[in-house]
Amino acid sequence: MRPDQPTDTGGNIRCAEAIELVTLHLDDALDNRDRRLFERHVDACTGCTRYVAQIRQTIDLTRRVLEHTSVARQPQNNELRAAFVARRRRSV
Amino acid sequence: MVAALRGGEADRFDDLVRELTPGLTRMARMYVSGALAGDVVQDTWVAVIEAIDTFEGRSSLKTWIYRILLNKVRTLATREARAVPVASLGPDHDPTGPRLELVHDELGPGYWPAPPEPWETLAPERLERNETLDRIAEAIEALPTAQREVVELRDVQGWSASDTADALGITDVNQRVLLHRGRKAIRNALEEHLRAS
Repeated sequence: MRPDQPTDTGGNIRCAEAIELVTLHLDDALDNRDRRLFERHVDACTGCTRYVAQIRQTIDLTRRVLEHTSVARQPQNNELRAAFVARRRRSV
Repeated sequence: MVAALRGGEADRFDDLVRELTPGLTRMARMYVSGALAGDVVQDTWVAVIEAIDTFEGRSSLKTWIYRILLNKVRTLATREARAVPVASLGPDHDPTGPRLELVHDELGPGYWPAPPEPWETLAPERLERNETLDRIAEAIEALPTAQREVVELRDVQGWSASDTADALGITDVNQRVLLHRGRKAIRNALEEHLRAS
């Protein structure tokens, strides 16, 4: 799983470090140096490539929890509407 | 929207209530049980009606309303002695599944012992099933509250990082740490679920 040999002073990161950068990466919030390190590692690492794909799948599936579990469309809340109308009358 | 509300447009107010009430209710239920959660959401809207003239627009209307809700529901939860330590970031371990042990035979700690199996080949028929979504919902519920709030807004409701941090009154960095831990825990629970097939 080692991406490549540590050859330069730019440093290489291990899988454990790459995994910790995934959320920042997906938010496009890595600084240039970390982005380079992250991309270089993941591009060469099957394990981390799959892990990033699984995190993306996790996010996609989590998004579907809303429609899966949510209550039905809200009925009009007449009590609140009346309170709103009464309050705005006082303001004008 | 704010101008429309101040102008007394009741239909726009209805739209806003309908749009935000489900999410507000989900958030309230992290702290209090069902009926009480409904009451807190109703109280939140009453507070919005009263305070809309004082809304300064420093945040978005949506995050402002969530802050009102969280303020109310956290106070209530404390009073009900069901308080959850909101300030804590939660433990950095996965409460719902096995920890990732990254130790490679030759490369040592910090490297995958073997690449994780792609979910498409692990359990292709189960990935899209309702039971998988149920498992995710359970994994979210098992998260520490601080992580759960962030996962709820970012990944369930699809909010931006900045709106989420703003609504929860936390820094961007904390928001990201909490999201990261939460996603990791859900991913691990999901893998365990798929592996069990």
